[in-house]
Amino acid sequence: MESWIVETRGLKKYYRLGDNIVKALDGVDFKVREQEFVAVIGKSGSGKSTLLHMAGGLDMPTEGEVRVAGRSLSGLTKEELAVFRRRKVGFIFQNYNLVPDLTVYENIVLPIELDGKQVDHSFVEELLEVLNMTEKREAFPGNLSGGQQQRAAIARAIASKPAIILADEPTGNLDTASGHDVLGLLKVVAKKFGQTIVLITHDQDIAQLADRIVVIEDGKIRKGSGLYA
Amino acid sequence: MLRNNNMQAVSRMAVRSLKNNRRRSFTMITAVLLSVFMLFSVMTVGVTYFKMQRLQNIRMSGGDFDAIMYGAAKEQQKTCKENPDVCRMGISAMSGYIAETEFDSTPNVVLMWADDVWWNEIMAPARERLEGRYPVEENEIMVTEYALEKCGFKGLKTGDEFTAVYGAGEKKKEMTFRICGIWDGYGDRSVFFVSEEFYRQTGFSPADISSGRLCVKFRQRIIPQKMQDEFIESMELGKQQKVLFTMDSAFSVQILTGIAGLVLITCLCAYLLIYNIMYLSVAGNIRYYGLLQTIGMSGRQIGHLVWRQMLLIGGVGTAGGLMLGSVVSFGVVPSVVKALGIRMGRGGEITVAFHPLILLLTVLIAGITVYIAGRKPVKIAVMCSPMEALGYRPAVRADKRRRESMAGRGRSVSPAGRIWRMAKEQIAKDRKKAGIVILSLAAGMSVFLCMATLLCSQAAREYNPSYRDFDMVIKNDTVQKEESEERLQIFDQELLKKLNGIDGIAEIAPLVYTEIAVPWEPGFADQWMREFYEMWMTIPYEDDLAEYKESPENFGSSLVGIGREDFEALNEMSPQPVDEEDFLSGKTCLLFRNGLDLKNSDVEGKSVTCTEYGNRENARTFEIAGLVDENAYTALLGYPPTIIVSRQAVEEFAEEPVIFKAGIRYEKQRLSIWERILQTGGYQPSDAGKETEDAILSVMEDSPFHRDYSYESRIRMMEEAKKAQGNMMEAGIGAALILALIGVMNYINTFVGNIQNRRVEIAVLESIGMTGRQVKKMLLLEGFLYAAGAWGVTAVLGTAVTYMIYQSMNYMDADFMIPLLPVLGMMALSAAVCVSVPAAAYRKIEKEGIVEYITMPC
Amino acid sequence: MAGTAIFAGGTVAVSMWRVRRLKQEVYRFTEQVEQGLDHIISGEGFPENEESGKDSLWGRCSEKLWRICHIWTKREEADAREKQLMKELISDISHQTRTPIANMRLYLEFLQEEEVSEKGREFLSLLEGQTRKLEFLLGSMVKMSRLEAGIIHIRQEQTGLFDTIAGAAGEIVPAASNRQIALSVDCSEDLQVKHDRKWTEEAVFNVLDNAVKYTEPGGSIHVVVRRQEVFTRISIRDTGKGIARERQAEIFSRFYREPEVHDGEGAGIGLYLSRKILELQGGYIEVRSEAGEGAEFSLYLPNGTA
Repeated sequence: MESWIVETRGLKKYYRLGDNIVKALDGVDFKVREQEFVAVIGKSGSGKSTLLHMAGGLDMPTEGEVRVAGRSLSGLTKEELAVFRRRKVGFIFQNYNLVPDLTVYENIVLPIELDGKQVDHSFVEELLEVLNMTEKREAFPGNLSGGQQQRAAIARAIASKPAIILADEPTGNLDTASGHDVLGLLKVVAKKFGQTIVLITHDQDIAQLADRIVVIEDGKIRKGSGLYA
Repeated sequence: MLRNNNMQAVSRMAVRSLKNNRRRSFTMITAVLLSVFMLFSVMTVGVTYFKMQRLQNIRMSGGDFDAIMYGAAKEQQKTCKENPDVCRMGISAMSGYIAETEFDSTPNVVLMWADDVWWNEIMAPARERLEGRYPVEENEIMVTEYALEKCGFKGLKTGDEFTAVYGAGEKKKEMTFRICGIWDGYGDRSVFFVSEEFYRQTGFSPADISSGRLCVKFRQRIIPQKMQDEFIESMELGKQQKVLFTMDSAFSVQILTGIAGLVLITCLCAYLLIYNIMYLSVAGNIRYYGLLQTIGMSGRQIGHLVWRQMLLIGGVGTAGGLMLGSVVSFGVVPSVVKALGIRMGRGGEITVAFHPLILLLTVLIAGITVYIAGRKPVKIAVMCSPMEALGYRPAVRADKRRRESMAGRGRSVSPAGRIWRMAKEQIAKDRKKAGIVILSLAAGMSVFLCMATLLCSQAAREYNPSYRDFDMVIKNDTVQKEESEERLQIFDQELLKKLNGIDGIAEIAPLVYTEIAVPWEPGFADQWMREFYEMWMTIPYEDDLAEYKESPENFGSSLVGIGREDFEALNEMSPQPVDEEDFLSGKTCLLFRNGLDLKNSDVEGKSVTCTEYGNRENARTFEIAGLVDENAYTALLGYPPTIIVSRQAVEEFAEEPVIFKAGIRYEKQRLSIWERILQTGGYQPSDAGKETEDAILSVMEDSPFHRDYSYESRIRMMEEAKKAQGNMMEAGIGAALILALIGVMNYINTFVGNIQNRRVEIAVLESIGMTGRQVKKMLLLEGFLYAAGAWGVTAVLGTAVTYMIYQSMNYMDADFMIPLLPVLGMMALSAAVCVSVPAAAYRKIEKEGIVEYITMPC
Repeated sequence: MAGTAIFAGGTVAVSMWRVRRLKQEVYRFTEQVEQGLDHIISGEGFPENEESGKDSLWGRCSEKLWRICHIWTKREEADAREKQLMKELISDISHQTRTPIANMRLYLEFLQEEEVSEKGREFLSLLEGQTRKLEFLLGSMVKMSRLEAGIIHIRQEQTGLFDTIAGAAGEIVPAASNRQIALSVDCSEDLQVKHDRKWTEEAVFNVLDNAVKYTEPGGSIHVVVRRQEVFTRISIRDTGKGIARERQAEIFSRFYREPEVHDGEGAGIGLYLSRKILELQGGYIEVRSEAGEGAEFSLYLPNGTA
């Protein structure tokens, strides 16, 4: 019996849009093993983002269950979900979503501080070193390039040593070269610090970096649900 | 469950957020600062006013009491004591007077007895110095240095004795008093306090109206009229008994109401502004809060983040406001309090009352305001779901009603009409917010309107020196002298010549008089004197009748001569005009009514005869044409009537009638109210005529009789009025400006936020063919509608409040008058602000282009 | 009245003060637990402090924590011992097999100088090939196991990448020219990257070796080195038969071999080694290819903070 860090069972998410019902997810069984780098690939509207939001506890499924790090997310309150995200999930978004009022360093340690925990400064320093951001640690996000911002976001996602890192089109706003760099870094860093990554993308090339590719189409997993098929 | 202590980082973020949104923080801090400043100042004025009023009251009445009753019977004392509203009650009683000492025959010092409560509690606050103790022995006495001096015993000390004759009722008695104490302070100081024993042997009783004084201090600070009435009723007053309240409680209530009103308006404005900014800031940053939730910020922490910001803003603003308030209060409050009618006498500087309670109350009110304003925005921030904030959930909450109305009704309307309707709908869409903005704009405008109206009404008040609209009236003070020989002709030929030579004088109208006697006759003279005694005298007419018949010279009066213009002016005021020819020719006369209960019909057609004073031979009889009430035409009031005839008639009757008064009119055109307001701010006298007046005064000063004249002049009255008003108006306009500033800030924030929210909508409108000009027009119209709404509220509420305030302050009998020019100016200004904000906002949108707004995520 | 108020106020103040103190105690306790756990996690060992021995709640907990740490340390030591044994075993295998293989080759050479039948010669040559392959395989496996077990240390130095590339290219040139494959290198000579010279050369060589292997004679191989924002990219593009998409993720796994090429040299270990080497240097490797259209392997080395 293998233990999964992320596991969904029969996950369904329906939206009502006007008179139509949109099936964003329609019975998804998705599993991720620890320290794995999984790319979920699909067209826009295929439900891949919804899957990610479910895994991160941002959204509640219409039906089915999500388990992350051995814990079921159903029945958690809003506050509990916030604490769950703070401790178990690191998010990386397309538009970086750094807090503009805080410096890079403060952004990175924010999830840790939000939990009232002691910041492991040497670890953060190491992280910055690997991400090549040491010099920018006191800069504000507004003064950084897209690639640098995304690197800061990666650092933020990893700094609290979460169980999984959920990346939603992290290179969507970057040009190809820096997009590639950022993803390479993500891969390198995750490897180095033993992190699990679920990456959402529509770009085959980007997905190639992953250990495993899962294709999602019309709310269903089309192939790649099994491991190393 | 022990909560995680994880707020430190959140607090730091709050500070950072404030620092990075400088403009927003600054606006909010300014709002709090201004409001706190207003609250603090207004309340300081209030407290200072009441404190000073109490002090003034204590000093004027020589004791701390609210009501005084003349004569108090035993039962009444009991009733009063049992009244639950009464805090304390003291009794004093007049026990005679010092009739004579070896040094002074008319010391005019009263002997009083006071009970314990009066002496120890009621009077204590009015005393500044006290040595010795209250008299116990019959011959002991408590004195003031002032009273001693009046008796000629200057320099006596405690323990010294003096002998004086005192009177009590009918009897007079010589007695040696021993001084057992000296006090000094406020109130009546020509008083010796005596012991109870002394008082008892004089035979006076507290029940006597002329002796007993019952002073009552109520528990409440402000005694409403109803309570006063109830108290008076409960005392079951005897016919001659009277209860007087020392304080004008109605005015106090008005001032309290005014303060409460200003506090309320200020709070409302501040609330609106803070709410508005916070709401916009949170609603505009909903993504930010969603983002914070995705990285694991809990709702509690987000609440803390927003509250923390509010706390910081509130704290900084309050501290600043209090500091500014304290600084300004020292300068402004005394003059405002003075303007509200507090005059401190000797040694009476108005000291600003800083009460810790004001500080506390200001902080509390500001805190509550900020709290209430922050609740909704915080709730929004806490409740926002991260998904919504990330802009993923499809928006299905389209406003169907509005869309239908736009599509359905818009068909047959002209483009201009449609724009007009769209602007209207925009405001109607968020009624609450529009109402808030309109109210807050109206608040500033209303206070401005109120101030401008009061100012204008004051300025419009005609400062008329006594009569006929003269610019200056000079009086001959010798006329008031007791001895006939001392009444001199100070306006001699030389002086008149000099006066006539002064440039800028249009008219000098002297009034002359001569002393006369009115001999008794059974007709009019008897009728008049009977009326006169009934009205004014305490003794019956019959007591003096014989003397009057015998020597009418003892009952002197005056014959006054007036010019044609004076007569015309009188005639104009009179309900029954008098034939001019008969009057000028000296056939008829007018009589000064002197407050008697006589009607024109009682005297008309009757005749009155007068004789020259000291010369019974020279007599003249006039037919009475009517009665007048204008007392400007009286010189020396005697028991018999003052007879007003033409000047010519007086000159024929007496050799050299004395000029007792001269009215002077300047050539210079007086300024209209508006010129006055524009030139001098309204309440300052203009310079017009100032030179002429100075010239007249210098002529008067040069004359040999420079001690014997007094004058009234428009310029002087206006100067005095200005002095009395102090900086009241500046303070008022300042308050209006602060409120207006808050209102405008509110408006700007709302509108800019509104446009920001509607960028997509506007972009869509433009993309479907609405021209930029049309969009701009729509926005301008919206701005204008805000202004119009604010005008409407001001016109209704503002005017009503203004009228009420005006009514309550109108002890100077000024006409109610809405100042057209400032109001128009205010309207123009507000319209300009209301229209320029959308224009500026639109220009910004235009610059940034519209396409971005369509493509902008969420 | 006033007395009651003062009393009530006093009571409130005292209880508020007590609650505050209690809270601080709890916070301190939590912090101590957290710090202790952090120390254990980081492997520094559990520090005893002066309060640990006291009769306090923290003392109670710290005893347990110390025990956990102790057990953990013991286990780690056992692991290390096992690892050491593995290391010795590998080294023993390497040592012990080296001599027999060398002897085998020596004897083969001797045998080839002898008169042997046609058939025999053929077998001999096959035997020689298999022996060489065994030697290569053993060598590679020793390298691999040393890398994986962390026995070998990567020493990254800031040094010119050109020499490294040149070294790898120089090694492959004979094989390439044998197969008539053109090799071109585009690398600026002053490009400085922090990397381990020897192992990086090995990684590049493995990829080049692979390229040569899968490229038909007459084809070409381009090596392009470019510095990007974060990584320096060494791209090796060949005109070979390419790799099907489905297999692209797998080619870097151990002992993977293209299904069609089970013969010939190679043990399916080169690319795996290359990936390992790059990962150990904070870089990564990727492939882009379509079947039949050649392949492009990219080796990414971090630029380092220079």
